[in-house]
Amino acid sequence: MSGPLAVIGVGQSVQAKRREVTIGALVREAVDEALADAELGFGDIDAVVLSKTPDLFDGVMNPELYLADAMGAVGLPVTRVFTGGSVGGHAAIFGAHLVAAGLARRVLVVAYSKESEGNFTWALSRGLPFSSHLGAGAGGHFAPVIREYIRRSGAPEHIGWKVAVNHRHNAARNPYAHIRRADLTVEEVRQSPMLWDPVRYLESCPSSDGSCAIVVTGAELARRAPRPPAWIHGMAWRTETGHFAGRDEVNPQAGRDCAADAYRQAGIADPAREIDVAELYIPYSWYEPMWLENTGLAAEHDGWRLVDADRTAFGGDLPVNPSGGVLSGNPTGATGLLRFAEAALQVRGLAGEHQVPGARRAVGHAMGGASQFHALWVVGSEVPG
Amino acid sequence: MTLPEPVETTSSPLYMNYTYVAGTGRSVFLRGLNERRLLARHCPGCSLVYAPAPEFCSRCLRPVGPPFELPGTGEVSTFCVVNFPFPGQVYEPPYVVAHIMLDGAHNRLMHLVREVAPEEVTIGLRVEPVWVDDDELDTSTTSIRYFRPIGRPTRDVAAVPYAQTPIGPADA
Repeated sequence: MSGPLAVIGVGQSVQAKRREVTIGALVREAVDEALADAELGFGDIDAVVLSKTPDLFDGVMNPELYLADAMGAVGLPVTRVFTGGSVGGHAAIFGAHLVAAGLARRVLVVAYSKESEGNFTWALSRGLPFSSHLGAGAGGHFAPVIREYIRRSGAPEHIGWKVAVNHRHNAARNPYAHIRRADLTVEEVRQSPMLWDPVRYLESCPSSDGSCAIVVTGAELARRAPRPPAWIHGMAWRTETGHFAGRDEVNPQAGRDCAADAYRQAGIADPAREIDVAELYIPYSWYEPMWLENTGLAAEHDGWRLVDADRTAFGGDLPVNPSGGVLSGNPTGATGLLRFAEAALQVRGLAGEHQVPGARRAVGHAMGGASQFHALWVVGSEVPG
Repeated sequence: MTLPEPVETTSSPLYMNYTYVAGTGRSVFLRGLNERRLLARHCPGCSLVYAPAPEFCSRCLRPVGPPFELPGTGEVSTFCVVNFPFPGQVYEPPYVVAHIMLDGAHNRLMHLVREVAPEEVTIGLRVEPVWVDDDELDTSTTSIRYFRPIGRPTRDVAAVPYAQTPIGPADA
């Protein structure tokens, strides 16, 4: 095993419906920004990892081939990582593994989706062999699970509205976010159309175009980086199948095990107290309390109480999604990496107007499929001890 | 910057027949559907019952036991109401998509609940399958048109404890 690992460059594009750029140009925006942050050129990179959702979503087959020049991957090993919505998190960890294994000194991890070129909800509503074609759409998977959480925890319905407001207010501080609504009110969320009952329109993520890139390296090069590194204190991924007897989709075991492993590596015994800020994969507002519980940041059935007490709002003691999160921008292939990158920016002190004051340890989290894929890292401002 | 008119859509028709191999485990369940039977299999490792059943238990990775028939009734474990139109839909909103726990099984089947107003569907609602006509039967869950209520909720499923057995390969 190598020494400590760190993120030394972070870049991202503006998230929006980006009809004025090609996929290649969109990817290049994040790549250029990450390299500029690290003050590196393509010649300094040894390997490239690409994070991307299914090709059906935006219609380009094998984008890892098409994007070789946009990623500066000419002559370098390229690996595409592919695990549903969590893919950006898995790609970041895989990139770190390449450095840890001694296979690369600096790895560029790239992620994108350009969903305006296709239709995400259509792509997720395809029939499967030998199955009834229900046409439930993206929210049709998550909404029943949310209903089950509300039933089990006894949470009042305003929790979902409040999370939706908190995240959009946070996004107003983030110039890259797609939905920036400093004026959004609980009443407006409550009055918004019911899509997948119990999930309302303003409690749902948008479909976005956007990209993200990071540079991961080892301790020696990280110490020579021009800006503060985000040191990786722990990282883990876990997977479970979508349908097995006794599966708990509200609080999946793979997610619990993933978080526990990362905290163990980081030497964290009491995550809720030791983590300063969490950037979690929350595509529908109710997933904030659910993932707080699943990642060990709240006790089971208590996640909603943190929301209710404003503890997860921007000025609270455990701010969640200071970037505005998935509810404020969802280029799915990049969504997981954006969470990991936001955690890194926070502990580097480079998060701009959405900087949580004094953030020293942060969680970045990603989830994919039917809550089957889970990835999480803990990053810190100090070299891990 | 003035941009040219975007190419909004391109048409690239393609057609391909794929051969889907269901496997020996899933085939048992699918053949049952063709005869209006819901077949389950029991895992000797964790004692949980699968319907539909894979060939191996996804929890403890052991081969599951021989198939046996379930009564077919079940209850709505949870659900959502799809309330708005989007591309790719086959039913007109609003419609109920439910996770249905068949009586005697421990995994859930996703299907429609109809013959009831969406606002009257509740967690715990008792349901039964409505099968298609003989000439429409197939080795597919399309053999079940939908599920419909057979009465009022008899218990609170939120109180049913989830299986706490750790997931992972059984000891050799």
